[in-house]
Amino acid sequence: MIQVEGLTKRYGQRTAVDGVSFTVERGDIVGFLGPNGAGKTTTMRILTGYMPASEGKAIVAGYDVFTHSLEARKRTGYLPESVPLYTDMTVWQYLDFMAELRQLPGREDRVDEVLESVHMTDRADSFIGNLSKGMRQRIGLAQALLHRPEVLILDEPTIGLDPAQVKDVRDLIRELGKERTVMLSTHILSEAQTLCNRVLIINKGKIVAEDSPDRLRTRLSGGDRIGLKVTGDGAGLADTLSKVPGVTTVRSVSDGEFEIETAPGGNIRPEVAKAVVNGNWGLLEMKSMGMSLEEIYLQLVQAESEEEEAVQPQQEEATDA
Amino acid sequence: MRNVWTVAKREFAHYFVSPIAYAVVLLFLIILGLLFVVNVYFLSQQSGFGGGGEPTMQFVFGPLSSLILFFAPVLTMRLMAEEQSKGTLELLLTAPVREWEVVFGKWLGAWMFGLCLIGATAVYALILFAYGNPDIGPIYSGYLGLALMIGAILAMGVLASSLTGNLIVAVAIGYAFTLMIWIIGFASDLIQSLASGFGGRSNAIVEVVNHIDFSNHFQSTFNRGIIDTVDIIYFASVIAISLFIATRVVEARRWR
Repeated sequence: MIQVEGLTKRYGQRTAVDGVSFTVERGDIVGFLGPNGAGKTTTMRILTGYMPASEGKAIVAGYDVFTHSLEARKRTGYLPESVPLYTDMTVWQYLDFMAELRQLPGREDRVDEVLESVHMTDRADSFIGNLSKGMRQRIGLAQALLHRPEVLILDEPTIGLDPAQVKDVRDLIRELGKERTVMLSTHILSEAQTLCNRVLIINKGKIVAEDSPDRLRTRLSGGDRIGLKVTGDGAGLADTLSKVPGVTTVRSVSDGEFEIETAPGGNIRPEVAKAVVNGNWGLLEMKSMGMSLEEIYLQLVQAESEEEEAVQPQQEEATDA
Repeated sequence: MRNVWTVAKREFAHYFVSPIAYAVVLLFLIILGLLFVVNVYFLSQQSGFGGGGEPTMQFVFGPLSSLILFFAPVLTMRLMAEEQSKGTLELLLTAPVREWEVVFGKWLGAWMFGLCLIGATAVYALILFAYGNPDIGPIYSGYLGLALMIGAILAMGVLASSLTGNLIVAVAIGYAFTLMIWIIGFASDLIQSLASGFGGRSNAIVEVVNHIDFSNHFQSTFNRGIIDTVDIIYFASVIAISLFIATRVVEARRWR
């Protein structure tokens, strides 16, 4: 559905997107993760035909966004990051206007339908300028859904919403993702974790990782992390545990609670359990914790900037010499 | 083309939602009404002494053609500039709409409102017909000329608005354009007098400058009942060129 090859965008000297390539299949919900200024919005703007790339190719819904921009735009729904809306129109007028621009047949019914799906029917006659941020967000989403697009591109769709609305929007996206292709950017990692079946992590214009959230987790951490809870204060348990083969570190979280990190390869949980029981501690709980996407993300993003910092001083030395 | 109409309808309707339009219309009609009353009154005083003559719509058209210059940039300032500052341009241009359709639609919406504005002055024509017997020809040609002229000024205003995301700057640029094209005739006088001092070989320049001047295409022709294709082509070209450049400006914005 979305095919991107070597996409590059330069603003003067600055390279915002640097040779990005990825593909998104139909029915995928892809999360686009990255710190601010990583190039998420720029990439999305290129995909929606708002701005051209400096280099590279992008095909959306079977149409090249540069050479067949109008065809691609017809099949794409887009929610821009700032949710720009005409504040002087009512909700209904606005959606009707956008539907007319999209030349939809049966416009009025469709507008009603979309309003219903974002739970805004009761505010149809309110001026958009008087709506809260969350409501505007939903109107923006309604606008993106109007023409039943094959591809939905949502730039931070849940930002500024209250928890109930966040859940609503996520449910809606999940529902849409069943038959459509959804690409959403976010920097809320738990959102990507729960919502997306694939995650692209972008930093400084480059894709640094691309996989499903689960596999990303195992691939990066290699080993596992085990949480342990025993009766009593667990005195001496740390020593015993660290002697179990495969355990790399043992950390005492609180009385009777431990966190163990293991070396990659092999499941050593049975050995850990045996060690606990043999030592006469009562095993209350044992769970595999894995690495949260948050940690992976920080690891990746930090690794990138450390590399760069490592390079820069050398260059400075060279010029000094 | 359908998109042009969609955009135009929205812009036209917007004038009736925003207070600016009502303020403009009100001021417009007050000023013109005042001038109309004063002119008709003095004319009737003179005819009492055997002078004067039949009152005509030129009382209205003359000042109207100057007033348009001051009101048009206010009417067009937000058309493109607000789309840029609010970011709604992103929405328009990611819908299957071409840049020229947006620009042309915006202008068309403004022009329709401009036609309503000058159409409102028909009330003075009705008064003249009710109490006198004015010549109908110059009224037709006057309205045709005004319609073309306001179209041209609004097109320049759309261009001004496309150049910036700031309403104040858009209005300032709009005034710069319209006033420049209005007073450029003075320059031709200057060139002429300078040239005659140096032996006079500047007829071509004087002619070109005179052709660019707005007032030469209305006051001396349409307002006197003359419909000349030169003037029609002139205003049509100003509209076409302004909207073409405005489209290019919007397109160029994407490449930055």
